[in-house]
Amino acid sequence: MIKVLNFLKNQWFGLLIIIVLIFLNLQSQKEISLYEEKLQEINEQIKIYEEKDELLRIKIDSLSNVDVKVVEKIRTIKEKEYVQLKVVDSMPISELQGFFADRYPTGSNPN
Amino acid sequence: MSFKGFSQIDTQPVVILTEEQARLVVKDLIQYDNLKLITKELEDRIGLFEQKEISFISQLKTKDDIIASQKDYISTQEDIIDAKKKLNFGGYIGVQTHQITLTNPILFGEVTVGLSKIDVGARVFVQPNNPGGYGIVIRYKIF
Repeated sequence: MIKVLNFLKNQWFGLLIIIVLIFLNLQSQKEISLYEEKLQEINEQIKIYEEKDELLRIKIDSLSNVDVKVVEKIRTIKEKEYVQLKVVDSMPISELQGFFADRYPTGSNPN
Repeated sequence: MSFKGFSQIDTQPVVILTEEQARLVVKDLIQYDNLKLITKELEDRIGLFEQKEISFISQLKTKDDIIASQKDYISTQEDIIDAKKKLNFGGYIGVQTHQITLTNPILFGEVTVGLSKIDVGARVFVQPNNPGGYGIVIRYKIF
């Protein structure tokens, strides 16, 4: 025990250096663990943003699909209109009269 | 006692169309009806475009947020690299003189181990005209 104490007494400077090095190392480890926690938080935040981005992408895709359906509807309306206009050319007089009678029944006020 | 009365025949004005005119009117009415339908669809489409625009703006903002977070991530990783004070080993040989002169040079060899800004090591030196020796080197990096 005395030998050890004498050794430490003689080698106090070396001991001091070792303690300083260990202290610096522990400090850096502590700093690193704080940074790692921050990294984890950032990672979670990025995941939340990515999920939000994915939801928005799905929403935009569904809106695009609805848009395609609307365009298709408009096309169908125009096709039907073309057929209806063609039918009018070959419509007999009685049907023309019927058209007006149906559209504007007697006594009806369009206003 | 006498009663007086009158009667009135309903004579609403009548517009007479030729067959050709009637066909044109019917066509116009058909086009009018279809245009009303198309207008409704186009209004729906405008609504969709507005919703899409809002979604695109949100998506753009989200992507900006992702980029900003990734920049933070990289910056934090750089901080970790800086904080990881690894042990650096070094070996040097050199010459040193006592004064600003090249006479009596002291040759030395040095081995150090460094952590952060502190280097600790040993130095062996040799001088032609004097006995050599060895010692401990402690160095702190100022800049």
